[in-house]
Amino acid sequence: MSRGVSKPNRAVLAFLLVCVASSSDAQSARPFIDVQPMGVTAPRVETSTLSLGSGLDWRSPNSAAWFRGSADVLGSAFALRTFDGELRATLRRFGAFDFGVDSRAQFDAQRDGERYGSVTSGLRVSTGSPNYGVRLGAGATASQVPGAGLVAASAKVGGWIRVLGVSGSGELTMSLRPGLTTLDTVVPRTVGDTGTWIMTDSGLVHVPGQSHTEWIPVKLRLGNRARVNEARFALGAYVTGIFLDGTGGFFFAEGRNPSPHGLITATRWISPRVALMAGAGIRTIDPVAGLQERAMVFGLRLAPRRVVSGFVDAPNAAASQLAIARQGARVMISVRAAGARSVEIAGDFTNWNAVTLSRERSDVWTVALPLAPGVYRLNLRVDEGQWQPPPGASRVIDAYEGTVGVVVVN
Amino acid sequence: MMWRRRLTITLSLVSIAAPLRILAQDSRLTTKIPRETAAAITKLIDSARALSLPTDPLVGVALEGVNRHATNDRIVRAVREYIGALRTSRQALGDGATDAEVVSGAGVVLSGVNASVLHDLRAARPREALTVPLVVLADLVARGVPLDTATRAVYVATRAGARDADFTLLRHYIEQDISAGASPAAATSLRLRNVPGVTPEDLQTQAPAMVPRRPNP
Repeated sequence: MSRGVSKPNRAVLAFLLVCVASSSDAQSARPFIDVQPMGVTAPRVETSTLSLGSGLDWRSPNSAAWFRGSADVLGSAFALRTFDGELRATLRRFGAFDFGVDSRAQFDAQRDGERYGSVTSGLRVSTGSPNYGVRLGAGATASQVPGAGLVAASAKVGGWIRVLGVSGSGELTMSLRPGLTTLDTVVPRTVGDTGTWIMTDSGLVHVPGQSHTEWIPVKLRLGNRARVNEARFALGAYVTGIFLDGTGGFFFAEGRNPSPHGLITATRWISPRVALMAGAGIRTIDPVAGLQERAMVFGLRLAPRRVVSGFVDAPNAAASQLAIARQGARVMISVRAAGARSVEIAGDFTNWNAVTLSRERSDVWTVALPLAPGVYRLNLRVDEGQWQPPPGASRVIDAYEGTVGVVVVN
Repeated sequence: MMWRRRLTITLSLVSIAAPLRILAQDSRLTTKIPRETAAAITKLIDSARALSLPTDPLVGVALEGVNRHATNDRIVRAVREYIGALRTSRQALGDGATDAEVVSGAGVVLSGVNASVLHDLRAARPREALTVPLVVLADLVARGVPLDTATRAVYVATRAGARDADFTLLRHYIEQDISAGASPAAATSLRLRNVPGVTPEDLQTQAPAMVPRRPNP
C-alpha cells in the first residue's frame, strides 16, 4: 500500500442517483428513485472505501424503502447494483492462488403479496493474471420463495479473460440436491403500521414508529424443490468513450425450459466525477416458477473517481512493463495495462500534472513527451486508482514517506 | 564613452533577466502552491542555485508534494531536505559529477545510505557515469533490500566492471524474484552472482561504510 497520499481524516463522499423505470410484464412503467452514496474514503486507509445508502421504491402499491451498504476494503470489493449485490473478497494469497469469499444476493420487492430472495455464498480459489485465470468455488444457496425457504449446496467453476481491450468472465453454478430434510423454524418479518414495509439488503428491518418485527413460522426444506443450475457470463469494454457492461445467462431448472436473464448498461463519464448511465435487461425472479421481469435503468452517477464496479468478475486491471524509447526530440512512454480503462502518469516532466496516455493497441497505452536526457521521477495510476511507481521502473524512497518511480532518459 | 554605454545596457539587461528567471520558476510553483509557501521554496531554490546544485528537481519535489496532498510546511521541509541530499551527493561524487549523477546520488542519500558509499562507488568507477548504479541502489533499498546487502551488491558489481545494462538487468531480476515471493536480501545475493565479471572472490567483498538506519523524515 502506498503511503502518505491522502490526508488523515479526509472523507470523500459522493452519491449515486439512479432513476429506474421498471415495468413488470411491460404493463406499466412504475418509476422509483434510488439515492445511494458511492464512496466514503476511510481516513488513513487509501485503498478502502465504505459506502452507505438508502432508497425509496414506489413501483408497487406497497411502497418500500431499503438501506444498502458497500465496501471496498484492501482489495475486497462489495458491489451493489440495481438488481442484486455481490461480495468478492480475497482473504489470503498462497503463492499463485487466491482464496476468498464469493457471495451474491438478490432481494426483491414484494410481488403479488409474496416475497422472493436468494443468497449464494461460498469459498473460492482462483489463480491467474489480470489477463486470464480460472476459479473454483463451493458453498450454499439459500432462497426464499412463497411459503418456503430453501437451502442447497452449490458449486461453481469459472474464469476470466482480457483480450483486445474487452474484459470477460463466466461461470457455471450448480445447486446440488443434498437430500430430503424438513425443518420448522421461524424467521423475522416486519409488519408496517401504515401499510408500508421496510426491507434491507442485510435482512435487518426496522423503522421506528412505522413498523415492527414479528417472528413467523416457516418450513425450511433442504433441497426438495428442484435442482437449479445457472450459466452466467459478463463482458465489459470501452467503446468510443462509453463503458459497456453486460451480464447474461440462463437458469436451468428441473422440468422447465431454460430461463434467460441479462442486463446491459452503458456509462458515459461527462466529467471525472459525473457519469450518465442507461441500461435494459431481463431479470429472473424465480427460475422454478418461471417468473421474470423486464426493466430499464437510467441514472446519474456522482462518484469520487471513475472506478465503478462492473459485472465482470476479474482481478483489478494492473499496469506492467513500462518502456521508454527516444524518438528524436521526444520520448515515447508506453505502458502495458491489461483491461485498463484509463492510464495516467504524473512526474517531474509534467510538473506533476496528470497526463492521460492513449490506447495504442489492445493493452498498450502510450504518450510522447519532449524530454531532455536526465533523471526523472514519476508515478502512474490505472483507472484513476492510487498513484504508484510504474511496474518495471526503478523506484526510490521519496521525501513524503512514500515511493516514487525513477527513470533515466538518455 | 561607448564602452560605458554598453556596460550600462548589459547590466540593465542582466538585472532584468535575473528576476525574470526567478519569476518564471515562481510561476510553476504559484499555480499550485500558496504565495507565501512558494516564496519560501523559491528562496531555498535560489540558495541551491548559488551552490551550483540542480534546481529543476527541487521544483519537482515541491509539485510532487502538492500531488501527494502534503501540507505546505511538509513541502518546504521536503525541499530543504532534498537540497541537503543534493549537496551531500555533490560533495561525495566530486565537482565533476553530472547533474544526473547528483540527482540519483541524492536519492541514495535520502534512502539512508552513507554518503561515503557514493565516494567509494566513484572511486570504483571513475570514468563512467554512476547514474544507473545509483538509481539501482536506491531502488533496491526502496524494495526492502537491507542497506548492507544493497550497498554491497552495487559496490561489488561496480568494481567488477558491470555496465549500465547489467545493472538494469540485475534490478529487473531482483524485482521479479521479490514479486515471486523471494526475500529481498536473498534475491539480491542470488542475482549478484550472475552479473558479468563478478567472481566468487568478489562475493566475499565487504560493503563500504554504511549507516544502518534511515534519516528522520
